[in-house]
Amino acid sequence: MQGAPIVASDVDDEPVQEIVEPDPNVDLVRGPPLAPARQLSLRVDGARPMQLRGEAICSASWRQVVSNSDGHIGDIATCLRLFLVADGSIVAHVASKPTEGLPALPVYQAAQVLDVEDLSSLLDRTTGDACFVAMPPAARTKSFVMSAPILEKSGLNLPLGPTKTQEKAQ
Amino acid sequence: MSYPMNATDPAQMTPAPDAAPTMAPSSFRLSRPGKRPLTFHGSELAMAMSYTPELPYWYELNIYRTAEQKFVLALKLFFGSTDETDRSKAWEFDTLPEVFDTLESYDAADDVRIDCTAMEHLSAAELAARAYELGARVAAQRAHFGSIVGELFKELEAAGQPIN
Repeated sequence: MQGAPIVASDVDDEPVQEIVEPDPNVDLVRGPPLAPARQLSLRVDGARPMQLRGEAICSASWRQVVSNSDGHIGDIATCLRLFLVADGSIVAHVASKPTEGLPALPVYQAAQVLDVEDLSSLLDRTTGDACFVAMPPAARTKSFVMSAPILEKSGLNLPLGPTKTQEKAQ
Repeated sequence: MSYPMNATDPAQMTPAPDAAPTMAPSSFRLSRPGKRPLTFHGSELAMAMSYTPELPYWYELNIYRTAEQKFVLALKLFFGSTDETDRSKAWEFDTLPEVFDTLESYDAADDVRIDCTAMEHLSAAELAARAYELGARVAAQRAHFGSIVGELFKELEAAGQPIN
């Protein structure tokens, strides 16, 4: 497993559709948005695409080399994007795509992020061996270890405030 | 029992989705477990398939518009192994949102088969292991189905079909 940097377009050229238009409902009291808000549609497994009006504020992409006891070796390319929604909330979207030839399927999830722990939870569900969840257990590897602190690997420094744990400590 | 749509080569199973909007209406006959086959005259609106050579099974989803302006959702589960029997389900709806709601609420755990033979001879530990394996299979089935449903919605949206 390793974290070689890759460009977002390698991973995620389809989950987000953008319709560029000014947003008449932007709250001007909070000041202008980072850019004109756009109508976004995020692909989500098992559900209709998540619709929101906002802007991408940052993204990170990485690739993990995975292997299993059956001899399957390949990459899982992941793209994480954070969106600032017009109502001020933050939504994270994760797209993880396995390279061809792996017994795996892509994973797409999106969720509102209120706390850094919410983001960690989303990443735990969507990266690395999450793509192998679609593999029936009889044929799935038992030797995957993919619980490293991906957030640190991604190099993101998110202005999301203290974590729930930190709040309790205070 | 084997359904007539048994096939191992996905290229032979369904017309390409690109051709669907311009396809001339055709007659369809879809198998349904415990019911008469669903027959109708119409055209295919959309199709998605989760075929991956390395996976032992895959789903195929089809949405049709009938000549009566109703909508049919067909769900097929194919197995690479000849020891398994392919499965087919189909529903008819008045509107497309009902089709989408059914896709979102469908629980793929129903497609997991349980081997209950010789369960009475298993120890508590073996039963626990069976339960753990069953839970993993259910999670796999749901994740697999969720992946193809997300793909189908996204492609419908890209084609200009209002979804939400």
